[in-house]
Amino acid sequence: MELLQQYTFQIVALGTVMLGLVCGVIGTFAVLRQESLLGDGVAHSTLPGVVAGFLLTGVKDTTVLLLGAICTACLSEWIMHKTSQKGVRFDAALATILAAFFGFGTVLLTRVQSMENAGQAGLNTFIFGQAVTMMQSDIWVMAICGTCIVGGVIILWKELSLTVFDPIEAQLMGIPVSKVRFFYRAALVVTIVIGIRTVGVILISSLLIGPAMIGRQWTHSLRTLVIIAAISGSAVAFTGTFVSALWGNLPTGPIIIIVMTGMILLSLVLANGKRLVRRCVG
Amino acid sequence: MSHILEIWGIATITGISCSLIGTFLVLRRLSMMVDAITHTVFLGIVLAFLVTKDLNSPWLIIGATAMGVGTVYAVEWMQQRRYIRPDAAIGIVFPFLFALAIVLVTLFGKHIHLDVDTAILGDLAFATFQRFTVDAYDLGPMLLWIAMLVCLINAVCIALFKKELILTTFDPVCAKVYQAMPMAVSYGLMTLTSLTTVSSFQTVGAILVTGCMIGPPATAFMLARSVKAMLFISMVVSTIATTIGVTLAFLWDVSIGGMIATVIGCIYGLVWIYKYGRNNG
Repeated sequence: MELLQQYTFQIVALGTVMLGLVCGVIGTFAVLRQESLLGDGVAHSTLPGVVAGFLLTGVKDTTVLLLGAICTACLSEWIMHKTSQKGVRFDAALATILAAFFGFGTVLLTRVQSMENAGQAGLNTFIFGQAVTMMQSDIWVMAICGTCIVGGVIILWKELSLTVFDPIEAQLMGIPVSKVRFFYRAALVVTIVIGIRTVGVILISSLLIGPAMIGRQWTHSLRTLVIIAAISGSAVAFTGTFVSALWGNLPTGPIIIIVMTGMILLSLVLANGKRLVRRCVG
Repeated sequence: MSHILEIWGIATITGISCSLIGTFLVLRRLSMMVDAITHTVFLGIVLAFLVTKDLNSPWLIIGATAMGVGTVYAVEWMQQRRYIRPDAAIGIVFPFLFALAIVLVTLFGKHIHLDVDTAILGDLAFATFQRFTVDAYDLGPMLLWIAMLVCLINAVCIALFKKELILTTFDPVCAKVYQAMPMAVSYGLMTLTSLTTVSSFQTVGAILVTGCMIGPPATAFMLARSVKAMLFISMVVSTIATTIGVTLAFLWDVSIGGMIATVIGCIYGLVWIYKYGRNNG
């Protein structure tokens, strides 16, 4: 239990727990909008931004890299939505744009690698995630972004929930649907960008979907769903971080995902059992 | 010079076999399933390697292909649970399997050369080093022959089962009535998908297989009015993209697979603008 007192562990655990919470909240809306895989696409699209940020400035400064990531993530998200409105289906647009942006990212990455610059090492870990390298400044960034996102969701609760389920009704009631959507998209992109540093590009989509999936097995109300998702997201993140720290050299992100999948399977079984019991009793 | 030509050949043939399969995947709304498979075959490779302890064993390819089909099974099982939508099922299954692969590599793969980065990004530049020789006579790079074999398998399967494929894609219920076995066709298609993915793995890398498989058919989807036309256009798009991509990559000395995926994305965007951009205001 002395692990809990360690400073590094505290920092990493705090970071992942916050990430799990924010992912749970915003991911619920993504899942309900049937855009679960958008997170995967947007996460991959951050690569060219990160590398371009490095190419332009020449230093591996977290702020610059994050800004670059946000720029390309927003761009790709916009293209995906724009092209899938007409002509192409959403999943096909998503796959094409994901690969194109990631491909462009690798092009830039090979360009960087051919340069004589020692600072380029570690750009890969930025993409594949490394929770252990988290520092206090990262925690602050996460805390600020997380508070803004969760606060925004609470303030815009009515608008968001109505837009998710019935955008036309929302429009009729005078809710600025496009503005609400803009908030949701921006929140999603920011969550993903701060998340890739911790769990990596490939695994962030799971952190967005998983908590909502767990919650969905237990409730039919959106409010409860978001609360369960937030709690289970942070609980899973903490357990994963703890387990990976306990074993020493295991990567944090993948362990979190494995714990999460276990939780999902457990809720599937238990929620099913709950229904059976209710059917027998009632 | 012949080095470039050989790489161009490998990339073009891989692109054609990808777009053959991809056309049906796009029509069946399975685009993101490709993304999932490209990630999970890595677990298949890792598992097969841990059993055989040999990086050149054919079991690696078999294991990877099996894992691809296993992914489809897992996703379909997940979809049948309550309150789980298909996209969410994909999004939860493949990160889990991929995470498992990463953990296994960290635990047991210290001393082996099984690099996650290389598997994901691929490296076409080294594709020609392994030669296919008969009696010390050089017949070209090994990967070219593998790519041609896979392309042939895909083409033959699609030619043989074209009717069944089209029927099950557009009307599964009707297909069932005609005893065209939609399930069997579906799993056959997914087996071909994983086989193609595995063989393209070394060539262009996992993420870019998604681009080669979905990009050209998605572009063709906007232009074509029949399945035949869509197959044809996507092959043309893929060949054009490969040619431009390989040329630019050699010109600027950058990642070949990445350049091809970028060019595919650009063509996709241009076609969209040409088709829908004008009356959009």
